[in-house]
Amino acid sequence: MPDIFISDKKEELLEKPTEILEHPPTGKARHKLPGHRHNPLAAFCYYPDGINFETKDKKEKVVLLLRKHPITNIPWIIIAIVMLFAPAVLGSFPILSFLPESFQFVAVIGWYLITTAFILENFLSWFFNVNILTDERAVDIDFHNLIYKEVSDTKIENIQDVTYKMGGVIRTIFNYGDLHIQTAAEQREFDFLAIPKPDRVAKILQDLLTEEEQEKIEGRVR
Amino acid sequence: MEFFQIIGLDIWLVAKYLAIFALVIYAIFAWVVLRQIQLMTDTLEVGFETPVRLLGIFHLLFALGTLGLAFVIL
Repeated sequence: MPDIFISDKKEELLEKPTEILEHPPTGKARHKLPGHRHNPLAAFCYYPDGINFETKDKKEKVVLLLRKHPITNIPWIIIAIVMLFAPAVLGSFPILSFLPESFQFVAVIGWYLITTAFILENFLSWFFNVNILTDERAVDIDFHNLIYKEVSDTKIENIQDVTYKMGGVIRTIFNYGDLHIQTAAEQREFDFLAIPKPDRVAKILQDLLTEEEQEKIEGRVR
Repeated sequence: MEFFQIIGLDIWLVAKYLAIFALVIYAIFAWVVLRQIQLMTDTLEVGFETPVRLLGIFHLLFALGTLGLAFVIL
């Protein structure tokens, strides 16, 4: 009789992250993990390669790298496209006709300069605002604007409550949502906003917590 | 317009210096962006640092190029 259902081994692995956490994959084994990406622009990367951040310990292993879901970039991308085509469209209307030609030319170049800055700022903001889960900590890196940086972290053992929320049509279709972490540390709450697969992140976080408790019981201290 | 004529100033010369002043401020902003990219890549390394830095350098060169162009053609 033919098999009716054959489970996907990759999915199975992601459902049992505790096993992975106990024996972290190395070398090529890591590349076979579900959710492991080589794309540096990936929003969900399980056991990413070559990740380093300012406060990372040498022995610390990065389990998960998260960014906002790429779909959240659509609004600013649309605005950028409109800005790119605006001079061509507005060229039909004599808005700048009172200016000499040289001023009109510099005005258009200046407009593209502002458009470049707009695209760059939004891209950098998406790219560098990340959430990282390591085997020891949850790290939240935020760049609020050009000159303000906030890096906060909490030990896994301080995590008391993990809640994730998914609501709305777009979020359901693209499977992303918010994850709220409550801790016993000084900073009471951590918010991972608009992250892909929040259910899986919550599961991985729970498994990290279990692993940490197991380490305590067995007296394995890192 | 009349005010500028009374004090003997060419309005387009004033406009030129205002435009150049704005572009100098913008070039400083572009440099700050490049510096910020440096800080961001120091904070987080994900293996995409070179293209991001190149974007920042391109933006700064674009700003300086526009400033130079404004000097020449205005």
